Amino acid sequence: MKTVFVSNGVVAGHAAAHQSGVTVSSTIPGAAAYDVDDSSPVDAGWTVTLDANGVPTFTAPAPPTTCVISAVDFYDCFTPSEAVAIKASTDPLVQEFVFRLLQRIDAGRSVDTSSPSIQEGVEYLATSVRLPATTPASTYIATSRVAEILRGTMQ
Amino acid sequence: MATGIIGTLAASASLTYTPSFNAKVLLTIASTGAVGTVTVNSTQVANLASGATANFSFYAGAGSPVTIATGASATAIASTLEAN
Repeated sequence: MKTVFVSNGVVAGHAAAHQSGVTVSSTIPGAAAYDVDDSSPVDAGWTVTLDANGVPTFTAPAPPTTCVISAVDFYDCFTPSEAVAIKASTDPLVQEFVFRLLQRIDAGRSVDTSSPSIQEGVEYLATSVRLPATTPASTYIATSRVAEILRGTMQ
Repeated sequence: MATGIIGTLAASASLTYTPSFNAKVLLTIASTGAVGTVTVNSTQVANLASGATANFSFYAGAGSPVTIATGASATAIASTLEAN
């Protein structure tokens, strides 16, 4: 049996215990847990809807599509609070991401959100602990925002 | 006595295991995203670049709980060999 952990309607992770006495849980506080068959393809990033009886239905994310937008529009995909946290970061990798984005904005260039550097950069913002540190610790953007930003959805 | 695979982890998940006997625990780790992190009892043991894989092993004392946790972009298979 595989246990799927769901946070904010999105599968945040899953785990399976293969020995008695082994327990599994989510590292995300408050995540809901659902048991599925070991062979279930449900994976991180899938969305979840619950029917009236609380039975979950898991849906695979849409395949990524190429999205080329202006660097200014890409910047607008971040909420103001996300943008403030990203610009104030003391993490060298985040600073480099901001530097490159500002260069593109200044040069009037576009951003291809299907490029590995942009995708890895946005994923990094969702998986790295925010610096300067906050209490409680958080990331720059929520994991559920990654797909939205890479689709070029402006805020 | 537990010997063999004790569990699998993907993304933000953790597994807790208490060996009955002194044990060697082996982790096979892969990064699925930007940075894949893995911790053992809250100590980070792996920080993998995208697409990287690694193996890691450590000894666990009998009766001492071991908690293995994967970050949002990591997967792991944990297996053990207990010595009774």
